[in-house]
Order: sequence, then C-alpha cells, then structure tokens
Amino acid sequence: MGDENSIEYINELVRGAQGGDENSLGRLYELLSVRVYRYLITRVSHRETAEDLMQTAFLEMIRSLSRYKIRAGAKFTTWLFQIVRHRLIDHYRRQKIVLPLDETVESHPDLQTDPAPPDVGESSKQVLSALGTLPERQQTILHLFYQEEMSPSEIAEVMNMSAISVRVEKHRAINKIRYLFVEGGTTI
Amino acid sequence: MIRKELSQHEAEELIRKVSYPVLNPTSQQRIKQTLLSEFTNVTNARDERYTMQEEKTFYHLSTQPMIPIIIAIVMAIVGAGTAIASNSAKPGDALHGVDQALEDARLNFTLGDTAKAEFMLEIAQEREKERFELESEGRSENVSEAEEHIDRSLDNALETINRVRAEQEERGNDNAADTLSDVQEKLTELQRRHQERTQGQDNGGNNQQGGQGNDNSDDEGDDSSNGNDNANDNSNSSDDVNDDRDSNVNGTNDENSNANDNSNSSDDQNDDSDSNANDDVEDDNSNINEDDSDVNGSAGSSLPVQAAAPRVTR
Repeated sequence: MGDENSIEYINELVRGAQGGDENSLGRLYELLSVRVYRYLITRVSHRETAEDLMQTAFLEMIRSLSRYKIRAGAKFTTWLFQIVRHRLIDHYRRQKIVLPLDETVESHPDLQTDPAPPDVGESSKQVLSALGTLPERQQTILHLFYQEEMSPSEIAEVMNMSAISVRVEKHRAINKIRYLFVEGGTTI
Repeated sequence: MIRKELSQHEAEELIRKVSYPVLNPTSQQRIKQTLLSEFTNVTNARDERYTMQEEKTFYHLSTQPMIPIIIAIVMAIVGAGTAIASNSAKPGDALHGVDQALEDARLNFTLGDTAKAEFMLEIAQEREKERFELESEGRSENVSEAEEHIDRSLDNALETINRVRAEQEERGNDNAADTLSDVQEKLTELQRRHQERTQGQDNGGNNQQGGQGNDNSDDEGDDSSNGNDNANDNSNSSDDVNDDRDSNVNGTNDENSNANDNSNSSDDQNDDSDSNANDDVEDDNSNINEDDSDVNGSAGSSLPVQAAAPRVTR
C-alpha cells in the first residue's frame, strides 16, 4: 500500500473529519470506499446491494466519527470494517438467511449469486470461486489478512474472536484452497 | 497428467494477487454526495449541541454547583483561621485543645528522628512560654495546668529521644546521635529549670503554708530520713505538743524514732508518743500536716529544710 493508505495519513484525515472538514471526509471516503466495496462485492456478489451496504456503513461511520479515538499505531480501518461487517450481518438477517459460523456460502441457495463477478480476469474468477466455497468467517479472515494486510489481532478485533482462533481458521482456509485447486482440476 | 496440490506459499500468492471488481466511479460520486450532505447535517447538529451544552454548563457554574464550592471555601477559611488562632492559645483557652491536636498531627507527619526530636523540644519550649505568659497575665489558676503540660511534654520528649538515640547509636549513625544528644541536653536543661522553678514555688508556698514542706519530705518515704529528722527537730523546737504527733510518723523508721526520742528526751511531755508508734503512717502524716502548718507558719527556720528535700519528678 502507498503512502495514501498509511496509518498516519488516514489518521490525519480522520482528525480533519472529526473537526468538521468536508475535504478530509471526502478524501477519506475516496480512499476507503474502494476497499470496502472490494470486501462487500465478494460477500454479496451483487453490485447494487454492495453499494447500498457501503453507503449505509459510511453513513454510520459519519454519525459515530466523533466517538472514535485516534490511537498511535491503531488502524482506523479496523474500526470501519467492524461497522461494515455489522451491516453485512444485518443484511443477511433482513434476507432471513441464517448462516451458522461454519456453514459455507455455497450451501445457501440465497447467497448463490455469482461468486466471481464478470469484470475480473479468468484466473481471478477461479480464485474467487474457490474462496466462495469457504465458510463466511474464513473468507473474511483471508480477505482482511491478504487484501487489508491486517494482523491476526486486528482481524480478531473486527470479528470479535481471539487472535489464536483467527490463525487457526486462516490455516484451515489456506489448506482448503490448496486442495480445492487439485480436486477441481484447476491449473495455475 | 499428474496433479499436484498447491504449496501454502502458492495458495497465498493466488489469494494475494486476485483482482477484484472495481467500484463504479459514478456510483462512488453519488454516494459521496449523500455522505457529504449527511456529514454537514451531523456537524451542524453537533455544533448546536455543543452550544447548548456550553450554555448549560455556564448556567450550572453560575448557580447551583457554586453553592458547595462556596461552602467549601468558607469552611477552608474558617478552618485556617481556627488553626492560626489556636497557635497562640494557652491552657484554659477554648482553642488550646485544637493547638495541641495540631501539634500532635504535625509531629506525626514530621519525618525523621532528629526532626521529630527538634520539634518535641520546640513543643516543650512553647509549653514553658505559655506558662510564663499565664503567670504574667495573672491567670494563676491555669499555671498548674501549664506545669502539667510542661512535665508531660518534657517526659515524652526525653523518653522518646533516649530510645531513638540508642537506636541511632546502635546503627552507627553518629550525626543523628549527636543531634539527638544536643536536643536531649537542651531538654534536660529545660527540665532542670522547670524543677528548680517548681521547687522555688513550693518553698515560697512554705513561707505561707509550712505544711507543704512536710508533704514533700513525707513523699520521699523512709529513705528521706534527714528530712524527717529535720522536720521533727523543727516541730520539737517550736511546740511540745507536736512532738507527740511527729513521733508517730517516725515510728515507721527506727532511726527516725530514735532521733525523735533523743530530741524529745529533754522535753517534758513525751509519754504519749510511743503508744502511737505503730499507727497507720498516712493518717499520722495528715495529722502532722494539719498541725505543722500552724507550727511552721510561725517558724521561719523551716525554709532551708524544705529546700533540702528533693522533689519527686513525674
């Protein structure tokens, strides 16, 4: 990630937004909306739904921003992704989808949209399809670890679980991906 | 075709390099406008809330919450005033108890043995000063109380310093031991002066009430044979009737009784004295004091005798 995504720069924008600066908030949104959308689109696989969820999450962020306390070394995105994940769970509830923690997305017909959106390359489609077969919790852990570059303890904070559990789940998820590619006959 | 499972590193690289669908810029700008609009509303509402809170805070500060603060300030001023006023209080004054309580508190909070010892000396000196002030003010009824305070403060100070000094010497802390020794000397000197003054008072009292002199000699018990002898001599020299009573007192001591016998040998009326020799000493002493007060009141020669009797210090 570049300097624009550094903790210091984002904290500076947060501080500005807390002080009522619209430009800081606008810039913060431009930077983080891409990342939030990336997470949501792989969870719901529906562009409009992902956009609606993202807007809802950012609105809540704006309303709660004054309560956020900037701490040295702490990532603002950890707090933001907590909000995003809560909105996603709310979405699942509204759809009356009961998703046990260890159940896979593919086992739920309501979630069977298109795990690999059409505007990505073929290899990415394959990987996203393979990731879509994992339990929701493991998908989130892999996304936050590899895309958001969060540490296990930060992921634990987002997901309200222990850091050790995060490591175990991540290890299991990686092993599944390794075997899925062989069993499915996928070649690199 | 041989299929081989991916290594962990290969799997991780696959996930890391996956490309995601991109957010539509139009949608992004549309959402941004919505968010900025909401942001303006939230900011304005917050500003209004802060303004109301500030007004509320000012109202509270200017009215009700000020009452406990005012009470606290008044209590602090009254407390400080009492403490200052009590500093010059003497025995018999209403604030003397406060003065002593403050001194005790200050002593408890004083750190270090030498500092404590010096403060105890200061207390004893203040007690002495109070006594003189009472005397100069003509408040003789409180002088005895002041003397008790002096006795008590001196005893406490000397007892404490003796103990602490021994401890410091054991530890090999020579500087502290020297300082304590200096304080001890000053206290001893103070005590000596106090005793002399007290004895002088007693003597002065004896010029008017000679019975007190015998009191002192009786307090000494059997060891103060000289005092008793002299007392008996005095009484014998003044009145033959008192010889009988004095011999009762001296019946507790063979030597004294002999002395009385010898001194009475030249008198005419010694017959009754032996019969009372085994009576209770205290009862006899009271009789002596009552009678001797009359006798010694007219006998100026008792002064040196009374002065020679050592006073028991508490």
